[in-house]
Amino acid sequence: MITGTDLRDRLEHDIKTDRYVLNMGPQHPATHGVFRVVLTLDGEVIVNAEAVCGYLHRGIEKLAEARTYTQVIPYTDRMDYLAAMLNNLGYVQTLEKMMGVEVPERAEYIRVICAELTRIASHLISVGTYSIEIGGITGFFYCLRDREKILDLIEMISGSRMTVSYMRVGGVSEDLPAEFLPQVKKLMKELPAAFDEYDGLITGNEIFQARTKFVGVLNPETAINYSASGPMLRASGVNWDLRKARPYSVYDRFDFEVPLGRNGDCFDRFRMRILEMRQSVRIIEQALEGLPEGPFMGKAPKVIKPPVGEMYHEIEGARGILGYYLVSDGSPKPYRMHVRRPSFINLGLLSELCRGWKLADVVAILGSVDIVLGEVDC
Amino acid sequence: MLDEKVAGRLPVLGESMPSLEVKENAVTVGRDELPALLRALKEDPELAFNYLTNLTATDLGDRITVVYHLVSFIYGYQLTVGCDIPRDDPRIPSVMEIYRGADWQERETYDLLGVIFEGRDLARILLHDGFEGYPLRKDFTWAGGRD
Amino acid sequence: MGDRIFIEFGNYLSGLLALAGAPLLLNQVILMIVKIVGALLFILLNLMFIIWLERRLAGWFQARVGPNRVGPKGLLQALADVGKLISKEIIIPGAVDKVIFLLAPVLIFVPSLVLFAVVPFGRGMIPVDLNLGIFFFFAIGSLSIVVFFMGGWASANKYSLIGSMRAVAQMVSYEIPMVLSVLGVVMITGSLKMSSVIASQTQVWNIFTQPVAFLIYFAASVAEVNRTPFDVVEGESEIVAGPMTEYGGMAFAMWYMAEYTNVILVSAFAVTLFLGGWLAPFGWTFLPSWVWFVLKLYLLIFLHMWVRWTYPRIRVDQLMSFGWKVLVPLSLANVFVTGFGMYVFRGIGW
Repeated sequence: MITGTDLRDRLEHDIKTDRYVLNMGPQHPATHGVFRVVLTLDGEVIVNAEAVCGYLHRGIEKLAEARTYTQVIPYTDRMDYLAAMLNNLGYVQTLEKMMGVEVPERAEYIRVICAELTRIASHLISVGTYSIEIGGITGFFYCLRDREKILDLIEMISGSRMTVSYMRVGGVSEDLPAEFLPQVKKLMKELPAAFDEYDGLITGNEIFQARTKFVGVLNPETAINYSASGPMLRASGVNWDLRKARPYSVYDRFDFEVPLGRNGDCFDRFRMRILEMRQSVRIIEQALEGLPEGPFMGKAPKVIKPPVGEMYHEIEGARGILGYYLVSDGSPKPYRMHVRRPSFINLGLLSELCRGWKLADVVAILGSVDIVLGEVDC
Repeated sequence: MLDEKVAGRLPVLGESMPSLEVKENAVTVGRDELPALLRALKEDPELAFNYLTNLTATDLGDRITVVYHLVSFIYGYQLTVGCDIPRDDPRIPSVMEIYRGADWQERETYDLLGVIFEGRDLARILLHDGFEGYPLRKDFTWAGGRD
Repeated sequence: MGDRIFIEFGNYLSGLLALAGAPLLLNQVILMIVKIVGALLFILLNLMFIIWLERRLAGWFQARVGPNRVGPKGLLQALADVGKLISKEIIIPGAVDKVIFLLAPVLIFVPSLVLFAVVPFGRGMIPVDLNLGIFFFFAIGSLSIVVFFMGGWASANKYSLIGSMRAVAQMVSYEIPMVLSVLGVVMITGSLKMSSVIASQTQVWNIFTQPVAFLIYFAASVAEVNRTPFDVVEGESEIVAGPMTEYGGMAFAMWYMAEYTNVILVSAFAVTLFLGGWLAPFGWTFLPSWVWFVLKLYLLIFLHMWVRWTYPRIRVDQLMSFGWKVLVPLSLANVFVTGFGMYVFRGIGW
């Protein structure tokens, strides 16, 4: 009698099959931009996946060295262009920490509102494109429909939809326009219903769950060891959200939860984002309620000249821990700027997660990591 | 600022490391003792710096400083570990064995600053393989471009 | 009244030819050509409409508008697209096997077109009423596998190759439950002839006696035409466009149109086999039989589109195990239950 193991042995030893290399990208519909994965395949099974990035490298860290501190703000927009407000926030907070600048209450609240709006907008893209990657195109349009409303609000505040350059050292560049508040309140009422809609259309779908559950499982030890962060880390059940763990700005005043995953699979990583958006709505609602009157800009020097020294500061970005490392030599230009880009470091896990899965799962796993190539390549 | 507990514990851990210096808000260590220090910091039950959040380097003109930003998820401590290496001999042991997350960050630092992490395969990650020089070094010049 | 309009036209034409003194053979040949042209026109007009319909429906499902600029309500959008595609160059990459590469998009149409010969469009309106109509459908229908593989192989592209390998695996696997599901219908009817299948449904449609078979057939037919959730062959997020990756311009349009032709085709057969073909429901014969046929056809096509724009894509190994571990046993069980039921009913004396 031939058992299954016998058969497998025979297949492996008597029937010789060759491995082949499939070059996925740099131009490929599922790589979120210009990114390449060199796959070594055995049939449809991944033997090895090598991530190749750098196609969008613009040398922002180098460019920053030739700009004044204020001139660097627009460059931060262009890293994670889906969550520009958060990039602004991380950068200006690092400088404020270096120089000891006080930020007025109102500015802090405005910053929190903007940051959480951006987080929702960024997660909407992530949720929507993930739906496409699993093959359901419809989910994408629902997410974009709602993202558009957020972008309208952000445009109202900053004059730009994506590259906002809104925050300044000591506060924000403009006060909130009068028509902003009623509109954002209205949107916050609508959004939870929209999230329910995504849950019905995408999360609850049997095929979607079959495709994502227990695929690309990341256990907590590996996640920590690989320095994963953000929704990816929390999907593995590690409770580390800087807004709670090490509150910055005024996050310690708001009541919200940090959603955690159970299995660390693609499904959990996807679900994290929807759950986080719900929490962001809660934060924004509380921030709107407590929004104080007052100046939107603190007392910051005209020329930003941080004292000699270095500073590393982290905030919780949309994709994970966004850290800025600044070295100052006392001149108005940064001596060295380094950005800890969450999706760059999360992407380091790709080959580990992909090994042994099918070709179609590479797309599912890559989508669940949620990379933005502008940030990965910097 | 260093947490008191961390500051108190560090000298104990660093007994066998003569190059360890505890400063106001960071510690510095010689490159030979760096892996031992990081391993001790990670495995010490009272500190448990289990997460390497950031790894980068700065060209200071006369030397290159490699910095490691560590976090303890259990206690919430933060620690910056600096390590000076000479500019003309930029070798430093790789810490990939201790923190796997250092993999891509070491490659990036090698790519942009030319720091050679020993004990691992190094390849450029952001720039193309044929690129000459290390752009984040202060003496790097290139033809063309705005500045 | 309108029911016989096409048949009357045929008789009129044949009478006209007889008057003109054409011999019987020539008369029949000309009549056959007219039928073929008629079927082709039916396909092309419906193709245009279906492509428009799919895009409009996709728009509505996706909270957007869809094409609405070319012609009334955007109805002429398909024409504009064809105009664009014809004017585009068909790029032939250097490494491809030119002959097979260019032959594939032409041949992909052949099985679908041939199969329209046995579609009963209305009362007495079946171009050729073969004794083995159903058998013919499956025999010719499975030929398109070869064409998919030709296109994928000749493209000299790994995505195309993976896609065409998937196509072969998928279509071969789903042919089996499809055939087995129809077996139940054939057992009840006792004939493989299309007209007899319809005649046997005068009392009750097969969908009510064979509901499981209908579901299996529908699932398998979605897989046969490579549409979501079973579109692993194209799987645009994984393998770009599968066998069609290297095709551009009109060559791509041929693949695209073949997919829609196949949707019409499998739906037309589902209508014939399960929904009583051109028979009017509840004796509502105030509409001509061919109108009923088209209405039922569009009901099924709408179902295809609804499914497509709702579901994500299943993974290739899940697809195979669904086919072999769920659909095949289910359809075998259906055959068994049908046989048993027939035996019992016959024993009772129905």
